[in-house]
Amino acid sequence: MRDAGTLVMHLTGWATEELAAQHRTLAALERQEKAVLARDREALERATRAMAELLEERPRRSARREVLLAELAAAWGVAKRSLTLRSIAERHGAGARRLGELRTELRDGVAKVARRNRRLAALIGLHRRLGYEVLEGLFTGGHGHPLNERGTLVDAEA
Amino acid sequence: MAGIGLHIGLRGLLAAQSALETVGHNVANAGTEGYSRQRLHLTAARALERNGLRFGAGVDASVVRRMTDQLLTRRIVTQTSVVGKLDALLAGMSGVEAVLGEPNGLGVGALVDELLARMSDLSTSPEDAALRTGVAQSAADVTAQLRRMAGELTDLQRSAAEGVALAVTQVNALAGEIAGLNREIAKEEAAGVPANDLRDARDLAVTRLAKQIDVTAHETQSGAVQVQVAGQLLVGPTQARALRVEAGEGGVELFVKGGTKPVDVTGGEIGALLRLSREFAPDLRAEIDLFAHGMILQLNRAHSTGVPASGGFRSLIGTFSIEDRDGDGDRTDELLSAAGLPFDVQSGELFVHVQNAASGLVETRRIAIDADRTTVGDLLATLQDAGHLSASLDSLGRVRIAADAGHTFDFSRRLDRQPALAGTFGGRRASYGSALAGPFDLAAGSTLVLQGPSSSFTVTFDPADFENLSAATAHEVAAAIDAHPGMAANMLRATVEGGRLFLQTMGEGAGQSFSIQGGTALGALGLGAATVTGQDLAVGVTVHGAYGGDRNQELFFRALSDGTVGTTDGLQVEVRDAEGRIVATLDVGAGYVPGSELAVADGIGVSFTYGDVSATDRDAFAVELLADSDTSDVLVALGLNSFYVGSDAESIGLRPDIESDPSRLATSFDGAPGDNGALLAMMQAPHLDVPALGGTPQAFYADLVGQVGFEIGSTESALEVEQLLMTSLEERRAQVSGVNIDEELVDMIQFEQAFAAASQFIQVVNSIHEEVLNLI
Repeated sequence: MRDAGTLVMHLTGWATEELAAQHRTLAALERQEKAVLARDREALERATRAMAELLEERPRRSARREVLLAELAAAWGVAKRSLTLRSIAERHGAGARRLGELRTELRDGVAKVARRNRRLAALIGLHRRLGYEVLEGLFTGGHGHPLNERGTLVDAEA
Repeated sequence: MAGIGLHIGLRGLLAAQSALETVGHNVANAGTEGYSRQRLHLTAARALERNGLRFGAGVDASVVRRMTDQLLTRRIVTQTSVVGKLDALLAGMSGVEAVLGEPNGLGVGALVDELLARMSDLSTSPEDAALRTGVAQSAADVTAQLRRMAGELTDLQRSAAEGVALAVTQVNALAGEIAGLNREIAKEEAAGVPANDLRDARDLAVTRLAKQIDVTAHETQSGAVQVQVAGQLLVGPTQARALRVEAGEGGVELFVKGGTKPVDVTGGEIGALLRLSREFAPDLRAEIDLFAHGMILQLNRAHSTGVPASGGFRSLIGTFSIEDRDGDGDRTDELLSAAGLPFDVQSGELFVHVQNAASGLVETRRIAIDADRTTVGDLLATLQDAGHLSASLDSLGRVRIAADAGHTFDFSRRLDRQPALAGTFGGRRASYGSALAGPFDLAAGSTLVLQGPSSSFTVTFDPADFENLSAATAHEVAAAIDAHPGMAANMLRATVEGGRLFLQTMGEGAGQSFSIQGGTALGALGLGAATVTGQDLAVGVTVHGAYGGDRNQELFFRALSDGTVGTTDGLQVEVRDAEGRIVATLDVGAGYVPGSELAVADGIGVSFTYGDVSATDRDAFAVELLADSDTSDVLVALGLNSFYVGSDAESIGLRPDIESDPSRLATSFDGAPGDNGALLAMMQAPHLDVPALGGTPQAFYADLVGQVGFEIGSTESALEVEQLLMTSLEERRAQVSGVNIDEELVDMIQFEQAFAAASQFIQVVNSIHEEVLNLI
């Protein structure tokens, strides 16, 4: 069983890695947005593939974090679900100062990513809606069966 | 930062919306005529400055451009005019081909062949009424077709001219539309936005205009399109100038408003219609008229000198009127060659035959016609001088000739089968002929002293009775002698035979006698003092055969000695032509069987019955041999005894009285039963040269049909080639400007797939960061 100090140190490492991933996610979202605006399908596809790769790494980091939190909860005799990065930084004191800083950066990063994600969702949703209308007009003459009943297009608005 | 971010996003959304709208616009207009594919050009938006820092501002949909090739567009405009012209030209010409009707055997060529066939049938049995009716019907069919063709060509000319007016209306509408689009485009683009759809509409209007008329269009620096036609401005930057149609001497002409020079349109539908109305239709109509004129001339030449089966005419009225050219109220003073007649009168001769119905005696009068001097009045007077004829102009200026009661007349090539009925050769009358042929050089006051049964009298020749006493014709001398009361009192008469003067008793038989006693004119007249006695038995002279010569001539037969036909040794009759050359010398003395035919020349033979002839009394007779009894064409010009009336394709018709009574067809040369000489001559009409046609009517018409066919064929070939070129240009345009729906759709669907993929991760990113946020 590892001591709390070691666990906090590993958790700090996880937070650093998580922050880097956030930055990469933000960059991927920016590239996607740029590709949609430029109607560069190939760039969009590349950026989407990059996003996919980023998201594939996610479970490994999440699993590692859960193990650290479980061990820390056991070491401190508290419920795992009560632990937050803030509560850990406060409880551990000076030894978790870096974790506290990373927590602030992570919070800002999440906000940025969320905001960028919402923008992208709106942009893609608009494009798909316009494209859908054009195709619907073309194949149904503006009236008749909607396209999705024919299985030609599935509306998966973000 | 948030403000800039929202700004970027909004610009991006708007750009994306524009791009997709452009795609949708392309797809929606893929089938729109004249639409040019559009593409959105994206540029980086100008950087924004905030707090001394420059921030990228996303993208701008800076301009939607039309994908066009201006050179190609100009080439298509030109080609549209070319194809438009050929297409319209071919449509008009094909209508003409239908009018000619040749390919389906309904044309004039086939109908003329049918007419000749009917004439050929009739020639074997000229008296057959049913066959005559067949000829009349066929002849009428030919004229009906010619009139129909003339009418159709006139209609084509008129409808082409009307088509020009209609096309000009369309041109003005399109020109107005282009000017309007110039103004709208200028207004929109003043705001810096290209008016692509308006430009497409303008290009389309220019192309449609080019189909109507050959134009050149170019875009000015200000973006307006100027359109010119034949170097004259039709559409300016803001206004169009109206085109108008005016009737000119050579047909319709076009003028641009404000212009004084006609617009020389050579392309487009208007170019074709102008060519059809100014050249093709009128030229063809002129050719058809020439053909009709030529056919009428040749058929009437043969018919006018023919005789109907019923014999000569009691009266004839011409179909053409003399014009009073000098406006003096008198038509008779007009020269025959300048009297407004549709056919030319030439210098030549006309032979008129007047027959006594009771005796059968035919008197032939030769009328000399000088195209430069003979007036209508001269002709009328000379016809009347022929005896037993009256000739005058009716109220419409048409020549009317009528025979006295008991007489008929014709202008045939008749052969006088009984040339000696006047009794100047072995006749029963006491007869004495001059040794000379006229004209006679007489002196004023010269005399001829004659002794008849009752008295002696002196004929004095007065210059007032002659046109020229020193060149007195035999007819003038005979008329002057006959005018002396002593002639009638003594039952004497003067007559002319073969241009020579003969003095005779009116009575016949051995008891008849008179004397030429003297006079100062004796020598000039070729007469001598003589006492002449008649005889009880006349020598009968019969002419046989048909004259096959190619020129008119007169043969003069005279006894070379005194004797009895068939008995006297060495009795001969000499035959001379008008030039005095001996044509034949006929042995009619011992050894000759009276009544048997002796060959003379050119298909002509003669026979003499038993009787006495006298060279001492200057027994002689003349036979007129006619190859053409009207070498001047005066009968054709006046429309006397014509077959066809009218003078061109519009006016041609079968003479109405022939149409109603085919027995009036003049099929015979001399009225003899079974004779079909005139009909055979008419059958040659299509094959005889007409100078105005440069050949025969048959060849002329065949050339005409061939020329029309060739022109149509050429136009068809040209159209095919030009349409191929047009197709090639349009395909090239489609490559540049056309909307490929498949391409656009594939593009959209591929984007949709990319969006779908991206959308998957948006949701995931959302949930992941929820998780982190909870942990934070």
